[in-house]
Formats: sequence, structure tokens, C-alpha cells
Amino acid sequence: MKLIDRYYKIKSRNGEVFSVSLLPDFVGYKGHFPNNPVAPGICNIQMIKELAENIVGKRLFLSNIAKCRFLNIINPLYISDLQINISVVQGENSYTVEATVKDAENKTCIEFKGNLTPMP
Amino acid sequence: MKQAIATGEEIKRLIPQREPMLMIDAFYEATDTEADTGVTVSEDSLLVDEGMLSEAGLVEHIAQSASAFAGYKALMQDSTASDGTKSRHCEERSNPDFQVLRHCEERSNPEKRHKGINTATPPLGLIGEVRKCRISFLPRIGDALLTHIRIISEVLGVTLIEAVTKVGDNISAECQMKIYIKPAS
Repeated sequence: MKLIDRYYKIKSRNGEVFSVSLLPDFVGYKGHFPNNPVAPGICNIQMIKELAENIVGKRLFLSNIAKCRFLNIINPLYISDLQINISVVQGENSYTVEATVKDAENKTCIEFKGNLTPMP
Repeated sequence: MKQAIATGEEIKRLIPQREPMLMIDAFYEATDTEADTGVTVSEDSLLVDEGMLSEAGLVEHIAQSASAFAGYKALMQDSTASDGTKSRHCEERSNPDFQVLRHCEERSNPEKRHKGINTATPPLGLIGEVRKCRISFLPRIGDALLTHIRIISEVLGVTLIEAVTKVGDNISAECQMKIYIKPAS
């Protein structure tokens, strides 16, 4: 399933910068972890993929994660506003996507670099 | 085919993740540095989209496999620490059922012996880094994933692993991952 409007909501977009809100009632928090919600790293990877799809306007397949670093834990009880800087560069067979996710205090939570290919 | 040490509900003794984020359903016999895990893609999974497990779902499955490996090792370590000798049953890695885990836990927590299967708190694993991750195809609902994990290094709660996830003979995903392991409190 898509995570948009379940895990996060896009508040605004300004070029390559998205402002999103995390939704504290995301059903995944029931299991990640019981009574101790932590934003799942992979949900943020999925969010970056969905934002890249938003930019290029087509479905994408995440074929390669060169590197994705999780630098700070995102606790949805305390952190709801995130800013995502995302660059999408079209190559011969794929888009190279680089993204940085920061919290409201400008602390870097995630650095992502990967390749996405159009869904056949 | 390797023997399962834990399946279904028994997995919950190795990792703290729960539905709908639970992404492994089998843990097979392991050595000190290598282990195998599995999951069958369920249509109920949060990480299934249009009949296929998402890329995020694959990565989560690998992360939980590494976390379960840490949970398994924690149980094994506990069982040797209590009296300095390794349990015979804990060493019998070919033991075909969950008795292995239960026995080791009972040895490490004799006071909890009759309190059921969820007495131990498994360690909490969080992804620190994903790298060199290649995804070849997305598994479909009903596909059985088998994942082989190899530990490259373990330093102060940071475990570096490499993993290969297959459906049958076909590699669906392979990657390296750094996992932060917080021991059970």
C-alpha cells in the first residue's frame, strides 16, 4: 500500500523540498514497537520513493540503494514535521535519487542515495 | 532443507516487532555467524502493494532477520552464562522443534519456567545503514522468501551483516546492513 496519507502527509512542496507531517495514528506503530512507537526506517525509504514518483509523475521501482544512513531516531510522539530535500536526476536507464530528511530542528535524520527505474 | 528453530508465534521471542510490521515467520538453525530466516508474503501485510511485497518490505524482512539473529544469540548466551556450561540441548542445533529455544530460556530464567513463552524480552534492533542493496524483483503474495544472513562484524551493539533473499532459486534482494542492537532490558 502507499504510505501517503497513512504514514505521512505532504504539507507543501517547493521545487525539490517537501514539507511533510508524520501521522501519529499510523497503524504500523502498533507493531513497531508496542507502546514504543519508532518511525520505521523502511517507511522513510518508501516515502522517499513516493516523493520521487510525485516528481517524475510515474510509478518507479527501487532497484538499488547505494547507501541509506539513519542518523537519528524519529519518535512520532515528539517529531511530526519533516523536511525532505530530494534531487532526481534522469540517467540512461534509471533516475538517480538523493534525499536528505531533516527534523524541525534541522537535525539530519536520513541520508539516502539510490536508483529508481520506471515500472515496466 | 534446514530445520526451523522457531516459526509463527515463536518468532516473537526473538524480535520485538509485532503485527502489522512483523516480516519474518521462520528462523532456521544457525551458526555463530550465519543464519537463515523465512517469510511467506501475506496479503494482510502492510508492506504489500498491488499483490507484491514492496522494496521497503524486502528491506524490513532483512532487518528483522538480522534482529532475530541477535535475539537468538542473546538467548543462547543467557543459557551458557547461568552455570558456565553450555546446555546440551542448546548445542543440538539439529533439534527439530522449538524445544531448543524453550529449554535455553528455562535454563537462563529458571524462575520463569512455567510462565509461558513470552517471558523473555527480545533485543531491539534498528537499522543504522543500508548499503549495496540490489533488488531484482518484487515477490508476490504467497511467495516463500528465504534469507541467508552472514555477520561481517559485531562491535559494541553495532552489527554489520550481509544478506541474500531468494524466492526459490531466484535472488530477489541482496544487501549489506548496519543494525543497532539494544540489549533486552
